[in-house]
Amino acid sequence: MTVSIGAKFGNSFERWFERHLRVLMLAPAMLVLLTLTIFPSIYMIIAAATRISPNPDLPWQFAGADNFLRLLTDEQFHVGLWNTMVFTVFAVGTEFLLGLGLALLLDRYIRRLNFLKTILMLPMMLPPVAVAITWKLIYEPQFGVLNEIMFRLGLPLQAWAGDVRLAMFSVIVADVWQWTPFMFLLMLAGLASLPDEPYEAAAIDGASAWRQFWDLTLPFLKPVIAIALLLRIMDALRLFDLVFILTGGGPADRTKTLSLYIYQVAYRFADPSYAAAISLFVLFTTVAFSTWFIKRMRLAD
Amino acid sequence: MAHRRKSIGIQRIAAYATIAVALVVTLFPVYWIAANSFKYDIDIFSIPPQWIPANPTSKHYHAAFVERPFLIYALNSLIIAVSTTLVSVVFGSLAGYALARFQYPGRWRYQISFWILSTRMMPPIVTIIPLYIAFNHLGMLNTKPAVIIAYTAFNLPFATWMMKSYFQDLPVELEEAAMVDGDTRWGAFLHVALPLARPGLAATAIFCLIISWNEFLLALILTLTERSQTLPIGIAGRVTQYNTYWGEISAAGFTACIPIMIFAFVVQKHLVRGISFGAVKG
Amino acid sequence: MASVVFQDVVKKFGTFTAVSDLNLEVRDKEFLVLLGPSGCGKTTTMRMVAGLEEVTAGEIFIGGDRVNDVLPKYRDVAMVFQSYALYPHLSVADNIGYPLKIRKVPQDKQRQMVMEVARRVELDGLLDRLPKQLSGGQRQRVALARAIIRTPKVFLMDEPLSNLDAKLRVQMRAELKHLQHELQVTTIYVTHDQIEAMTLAHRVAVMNKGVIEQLGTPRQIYNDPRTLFVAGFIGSPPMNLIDGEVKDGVFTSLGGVRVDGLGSANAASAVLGVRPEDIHVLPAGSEKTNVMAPIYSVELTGESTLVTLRAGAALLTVRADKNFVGDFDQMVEIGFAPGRVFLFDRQSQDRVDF
Repeated sequence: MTVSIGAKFGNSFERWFERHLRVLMLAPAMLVLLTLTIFPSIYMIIAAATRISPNPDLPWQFAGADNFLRLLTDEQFHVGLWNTMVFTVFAVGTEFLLGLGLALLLDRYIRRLNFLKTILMLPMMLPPVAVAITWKLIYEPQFGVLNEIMFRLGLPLQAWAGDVRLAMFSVIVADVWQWTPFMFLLMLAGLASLPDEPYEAAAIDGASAWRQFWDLTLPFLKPVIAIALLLRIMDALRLFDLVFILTGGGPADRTKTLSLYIYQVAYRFADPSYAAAISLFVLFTTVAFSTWFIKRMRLAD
Repeated sequence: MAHRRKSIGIQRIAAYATIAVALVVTLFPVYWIAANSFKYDIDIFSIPPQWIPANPTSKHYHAAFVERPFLIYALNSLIIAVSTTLVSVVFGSLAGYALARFQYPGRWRYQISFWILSTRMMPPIVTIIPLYIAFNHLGMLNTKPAVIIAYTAFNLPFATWMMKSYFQDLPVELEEAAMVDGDTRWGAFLHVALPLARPGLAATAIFCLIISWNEFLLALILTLTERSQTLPIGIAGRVTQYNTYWGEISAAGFTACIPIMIFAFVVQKHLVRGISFGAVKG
Repeated sequence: MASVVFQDVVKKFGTFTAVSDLNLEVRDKEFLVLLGPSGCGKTTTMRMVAGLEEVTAGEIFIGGDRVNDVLPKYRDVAMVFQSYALYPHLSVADNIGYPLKIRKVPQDKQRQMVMEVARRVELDGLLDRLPKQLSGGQRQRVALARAIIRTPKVFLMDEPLSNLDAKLRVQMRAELKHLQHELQVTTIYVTHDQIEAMTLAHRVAVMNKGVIEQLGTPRQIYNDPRTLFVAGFIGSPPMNLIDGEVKDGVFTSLGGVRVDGLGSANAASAVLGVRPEDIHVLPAGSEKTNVMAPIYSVELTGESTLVTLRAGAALLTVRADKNFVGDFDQMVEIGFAPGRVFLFDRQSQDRVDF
């Protein structure tokens, strides 16, 4: 009962298609990504090296490194850079510690109840705009919930997001609320994949729970922690939605992040050349940082 | 890890208490936006705050979705999210499969994979200005296709990477068996690899949907007209310098959250799996 | 119904040469086993026949047709994978029928053929199950059924028995041999297990480092190994290989082994090979004694007793009578069966005839 497959060795189109499959399957994605990254990159470099007049009829003028030199003296830029760094360090740091702690608790005490985990993960999926609105409502100085709690506790009322001293803190709290779940989820996944044997061996060797955590859990989790931190840091460095709605960068520029500043330069001050220069700076430092981080943590393999 | 030493009662109680606090802190803001969306303005502003709406009303939903164009925004969001997801998942699985399975000369496979991942690291604000200018030239500002193209640029690297790690986890012999059995490579991809990658496809699609549904900055810059704006832009538009329409934005904001919440519970299995391996494998 | 011919076939992965200059003809209806340790190029050789690897240089013919550029689907070969490669999302019936579905065989004919094949490999009760609901042996049968359902020109089997437990392996070995005889299909079978090779093959090709060391019937390979590698690889327990020197037909080792009557062979560094069953325990003081050495261990296998002796640095294994009794460190005299010792050159690894 021999079953034939038709034409003896197939037609030439089929052979061509199969032979070039590795290129054909890659092509659509590559074309989209090349157009949408190469073109903007070239534009940014050209724009940053010119002075673009607000009047579209006037030609662009070559400006050399002028736009980049402005970075050195622009205090607003320095403020934005400082704010972005402060935000990144404190927000990501807090999220990591809370996420890890929560994951350890759930891993140890509650193993089944998946819906609990889903609830705890919910904030990271919600639209940042809705999150910002919610926290704006909570921080509201007059009728907000937070001041009601302060009042009940007999503490002084605060303007929170509107207060020069507390604005950054308020933004960080809202971000921590939204993104701790992300850390939590990754740590939970990491914990779930830990092998049992080393713990059994350690327990037999008499290692305390604390020692087991330092000597086994943390080293095992290291790659997951590294990736989680990298992803969160990249996101934190581009923070926009939350500050745009919650504080608008204020008060007194205390929460103005680099992304927000670029937006203002480009659209409010109508200075795309300078915006391009700042963008290139951001791009360069982000890529440099992530490359260093990936190499350092040996994530590439 | 059942082997870890059974803990004494007090530790356990402290742990449960901590988890309970975490649950309350997680849920309260969501509850609060929902509660306020059902209050009359006067109740929203009441001091002390009204913990439970005393006179529930759907007034703000009516205001947002009937009097103001939030229905259009929501529809735009949906169309954009679904289209972006379709394009990203289709192109992403093709490229992901290619990178997972085929040999390329020299170090090209590694280079391309890394380059695709690195495009994900680009902050959106960096590419948005040139995109804005390009779409302006093409007369595509304030159109859904423009937003979809921009979103695809940001979702595709992620989709490719996720599908690549999923395909790499599938045993290659299955496709080889199919080829020996009489399939072409393409046929083996369609008949064997793709059906087996369904969980990965689901997880990837979920992420693309959520990211596109939530996105703010790109849409803010690429769309200025009611006809083209998305839900987040519509909500932000009601926070003005002079007045914040609390009831309305609460209603719209909560509405924007609803599909995500339903979604999260329906697909929780895929979600955990998807995120964990997507992230663990980079 | 087809021969498979390799002509000067080379396969390189980057700078690594997996198969170098392979020339081999697998005859029509032959059961040929490619035998060798892992990484010797045997699986690569088989995958080139299937079209899963491209040939770097040289030519492959199936049934007289040059197939270098032919897609796997047109080569009309069937393959059984080590991991079985069953489609986990398809039922047993759909797994077996997959080659027919691809070839657009009418539904009812498909069903009939699947039934027939399933009965042949005793799977008829399990057709609706998914692969994950089957035992290892059953999965193996599904893989086999999928291969035989369309009577291809060539069967390719990549260590098909290695994932089965020992008992099942012996049973399946016999079934495979019978099946091939019944179907009369040219078969290339890859394994690292020399017992499988000996029991199944018409001819065995022993591969090492991408090269065929020796091609011959199991008997030839066993009784007449042409290289040191083949000698050491075939046989269980393996052939004893003793380093020493030969002067004018007399072999001596540091461990006190002395064998004469090796013609006029001369070599400063030679290896003497003798199989455990060709060594006999002799009564004390026998003049046929080749070496006297203390017992290192004694293992009763049932049909015989394996006695290991320590002769200097070397350990010698002797297959002695099942009633042999001996203690650790007890001195034993042994003699090698005349005409059953082999001599190899340490440098070239080749047999030295005498």
